[in-house]
Amino acid sequence: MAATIARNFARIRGHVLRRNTPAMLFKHARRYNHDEVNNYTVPYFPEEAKKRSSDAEYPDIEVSTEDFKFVERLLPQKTVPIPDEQELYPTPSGWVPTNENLQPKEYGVRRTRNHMLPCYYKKHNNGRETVKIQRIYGDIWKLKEDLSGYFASNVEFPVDIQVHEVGRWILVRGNYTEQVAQFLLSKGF
Amino acid sequence: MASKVPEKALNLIRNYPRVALNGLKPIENDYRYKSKPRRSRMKATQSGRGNKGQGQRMTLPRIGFEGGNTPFYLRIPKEPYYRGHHLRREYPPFSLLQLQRMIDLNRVNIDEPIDLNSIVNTNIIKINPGDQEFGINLTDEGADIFQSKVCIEVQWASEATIAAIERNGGMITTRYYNTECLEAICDTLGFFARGIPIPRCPLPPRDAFEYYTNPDSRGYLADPELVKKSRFKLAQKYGYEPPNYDTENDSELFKMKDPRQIFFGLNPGWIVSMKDKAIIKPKDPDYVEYYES
Amino acid sequence: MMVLTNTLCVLPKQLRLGNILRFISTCSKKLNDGSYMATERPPLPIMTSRKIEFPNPYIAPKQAWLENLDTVNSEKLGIVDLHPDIFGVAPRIDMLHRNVKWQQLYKYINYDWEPTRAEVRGGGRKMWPQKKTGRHRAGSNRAPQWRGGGKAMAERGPYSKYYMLSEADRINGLCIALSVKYAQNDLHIVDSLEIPTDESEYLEELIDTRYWGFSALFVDDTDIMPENIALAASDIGQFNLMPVYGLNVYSILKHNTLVLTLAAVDKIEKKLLERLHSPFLHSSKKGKRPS
Repeated sequence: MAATIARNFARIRGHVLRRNTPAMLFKHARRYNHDEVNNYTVPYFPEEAKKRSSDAEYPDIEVSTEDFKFVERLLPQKTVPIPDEQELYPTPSGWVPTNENLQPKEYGVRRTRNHMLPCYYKKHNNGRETVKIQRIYGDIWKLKEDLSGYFASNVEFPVDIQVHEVGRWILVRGNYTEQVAQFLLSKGF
Repeated sequence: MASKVPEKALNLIRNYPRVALNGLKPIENDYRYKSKPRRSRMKATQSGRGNKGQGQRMTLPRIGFEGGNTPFYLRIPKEPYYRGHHLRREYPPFSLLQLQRMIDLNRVNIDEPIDLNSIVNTNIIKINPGDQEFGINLTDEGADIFQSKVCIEVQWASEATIAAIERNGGMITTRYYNTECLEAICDTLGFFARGIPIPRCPLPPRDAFEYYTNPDSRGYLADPELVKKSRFKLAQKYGYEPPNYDTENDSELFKMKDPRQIFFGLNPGWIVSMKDKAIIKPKDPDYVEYYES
Repeated sequence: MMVLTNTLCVLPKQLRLGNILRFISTCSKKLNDGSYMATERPPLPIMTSRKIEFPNPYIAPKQAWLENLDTVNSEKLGIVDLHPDIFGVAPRIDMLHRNVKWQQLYKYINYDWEPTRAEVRGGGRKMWPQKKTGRHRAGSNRAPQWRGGGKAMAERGPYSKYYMLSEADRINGLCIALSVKYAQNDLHIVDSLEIPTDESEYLEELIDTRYWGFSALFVDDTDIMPENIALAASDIGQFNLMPVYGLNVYSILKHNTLVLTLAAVDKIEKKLLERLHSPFLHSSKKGKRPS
């Protein structure tokens, strides 16, 4: 009722009654304390604002730099560390480092950054199993020849090997991970 | 012996025009196959909705409605297969073989106690607290080859694992962390960057309480005397000398955390400032009382 | 005799070999005919090898001359070893393309905006009755088929093409760009960026004499550059100075030659090798468990 009267009054006076625009709100803000308007925080609750202001009381603290050494122990290492030299190889977990004496001159297979052999077993969606040797340097065909020779003496059935010259990898068809690893270790890679 | 093909390529481009912004090209067919519109020529104007009827006119009934007979999803009774699945905890496996490999490759320092933080920092195994993962389950794969003397703290361990570690003179405790603590442990840099106090680890929930108070599983809440007896019993069972932790040399190694503590050397309630390389400790009695309780 | 001395570079750093050179004062003497002559040089060669972190056991380090910027003509001060995993990587042009495309697109915001039929002024009234007028039915005169109407599939407002290329791809791109520059003889290593005058003609003359191409990018390890070169290069658009943290594939390929200081080479190698041998490369926050 009051609203309709106000609306009619506005029409008579010739004003157009606007909806609650932000400008309208701001007009009314003149009635508030200027400081409170300037220190407007979202949401506008004066108690909360007081807590966040510089007058707020914070609990007592003590700053120490001596205990920071415990924090440094918790941070991860930036690079993978080099394994220490040990007397006996293979290590208890079966890891063998590279042996430069056994390595042939024509080709090379580089270890991964975690010092592991770069041969990966994969089971494809259709059940096919392959072993991929990556990070090959040098004469990749010679490596394939040697690998075929190794399979000929160790495995009954002939093994298919695919060579990718540009991508520098070799794919062995079948689940021959152990044999491939043995071959690479025997060559000192 | 350099790789033939890359070296050849590098030698080739010596005499080619300069590689610059105008000569760059992607691999052919590198872009994803753009999906074609799935429609026949005759029905192109139907927007894939068919012709006439409820299908085209957006008046199909609700999903599962079968014309009036009791639908399938109301006929069949519920089965409790996944009841409480959101409350179940996962402990991803981490084998003794992996641990031994990490030690061999110097990824982990065995002169200090190994806890979840040091294992996760190697990035060999990742724990996602958001996926209901509550820590590491140390499995006994590799128990026969395990040869290191370590002080290790995991979240779940079987009898064989405990035997394998104690046989070599090491110490193993099982310890509970809740999700908030795990988020601090698994990503320490990210946690310290947030500037919030180190959380106080709560006690384990009811269904885990039994495990962590059990001396046979070397729970951190178990009575130390009972744990000693259990060690002796296990040594008798598996046939080795029970371990002795009282030597002065290994005081650095055989440390245990307070049940509320999640990092060695840092108490709950402290805030770490990475930039200033300092630690802010509360002195207010209320805070101190809360974090020390 | 006028001796134009360059001030010693007063940047405190660890005493690496590359930085020792900074403490050796390299003075250039301007002769009567206007040319510059180097004086007081230490016994050459200054260096013939360099320690390489994480060496590649199968590829020998690449080698480059260590040159100077004091004189217009190039003087060879020594030989620098470069890491093959950074300066001898296979030249994959498609990886460079990917990096450049990313650099251009991740900042790109398309500001096109066109009004639809609802936003074009007018068009609220049915123009004529549905039937019997003999005209095609019309609901609004701002429909797309109408002249002055809104667009059917309009460009809607600002949208970004932001995406992040994986860290491995970005690192690989940098290594490939550096390798390509080295392979095409467009990479030059210099002891420091000190030049005798702040005149841009000196730089122009230097680059013309040495056939270093139209444009050159000088890279130092910090963003505080010696005064002379900063002033000399500021007048010319194609000679640009850059700290190591600003190095990117687009800039390397845009400029014809890339001039690195020895300290910059140290820093680049250190940073890239740290990432290449970090346990966290190829790892997302919610990583997959190894099977």
